Amino acid sequence: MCRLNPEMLQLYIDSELNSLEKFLLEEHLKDCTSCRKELNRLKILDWDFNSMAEKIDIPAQLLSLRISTLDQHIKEAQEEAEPTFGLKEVYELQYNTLKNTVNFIQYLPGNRLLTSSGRKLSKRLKPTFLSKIIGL
Amino acid sequence: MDIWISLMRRCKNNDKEAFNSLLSHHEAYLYKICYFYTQNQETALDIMQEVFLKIYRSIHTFDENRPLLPWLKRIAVNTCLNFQRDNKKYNQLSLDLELSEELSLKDTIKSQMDVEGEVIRHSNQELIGKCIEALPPNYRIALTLKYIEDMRYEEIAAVLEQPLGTVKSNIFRARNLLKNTLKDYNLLEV
Ligand SMILES: [Zn+2]
Repeated sequence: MCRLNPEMLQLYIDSELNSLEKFLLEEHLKDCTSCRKELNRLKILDWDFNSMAEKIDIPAQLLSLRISTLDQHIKEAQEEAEPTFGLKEVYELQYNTLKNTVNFIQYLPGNRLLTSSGRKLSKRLKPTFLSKIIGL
Repeated sequence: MDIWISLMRRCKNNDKEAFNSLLSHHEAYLYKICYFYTQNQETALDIMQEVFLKIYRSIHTFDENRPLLPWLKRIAVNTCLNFQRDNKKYNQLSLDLELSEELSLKDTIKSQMDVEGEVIRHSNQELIGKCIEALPPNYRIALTLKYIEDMRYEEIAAVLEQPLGTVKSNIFRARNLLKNTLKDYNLLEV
């Protein structure tokens, strides 16, 4: 009965031995019939595995599976992301933007002077959309 | 801009055409992983459906500066491993397989083959296929990466995030089990 570590034969066919280990194993194989037989069996098994991996057929269903999976889920995602933005919201947004833009005037130096002269001026003018917003 | 990066950005934008194009390039390869692992077309397709979904759902987290293929492979491998986790039969047969367990697994494989009563009509490869099916997931996934990917032990260990020694012994045990079983039927003689 051979006392070689049986793992060595598998590492050998997988080319995972270093050069010294490989050399020693090859020397051993010259004299050991049982290891040579075992190695042959492993080689046949290895050949079968490789051949099985090469022979895998790609079924036609794979394509339809991909298309149906994408169709279903991308549709779902787009429905979720559908905007619910109406005309009313657009006006509101524009109104707020304008309001915020003119609000900073309050913090400018000379604001009061501007306001009072603005009021005097506005007495003589009809109220406008802008004057309503900034409260002149 | 790199054609893959631009395709990826379109995918991130939920562009169906881009997804179809991306997946069509890689699906055959990913399917082979699933098939070798399960040795069953129907199950492999079930797993692939999950793989498609996972790719679609997690593409947003994909870092464009990294290579795509290893990322896709990892999704396929993890989906295989997570599939039928409730199949507890082999979950216990994990890393430290005792000799007795190994023998009982061998018996399982043998009885499966005997029940069929068709040993002679089966080719070696059909029998090996049946044997792979009966192996614990850890063994099967290591063999899959070895034979589909032609990976070295170190690469397999990296993909599976397992120690090198574990991978080595899983491959050794899986092949040893198959070799001893087939040897009993004189199927590996020259
Ligand atoms: Zn020997």
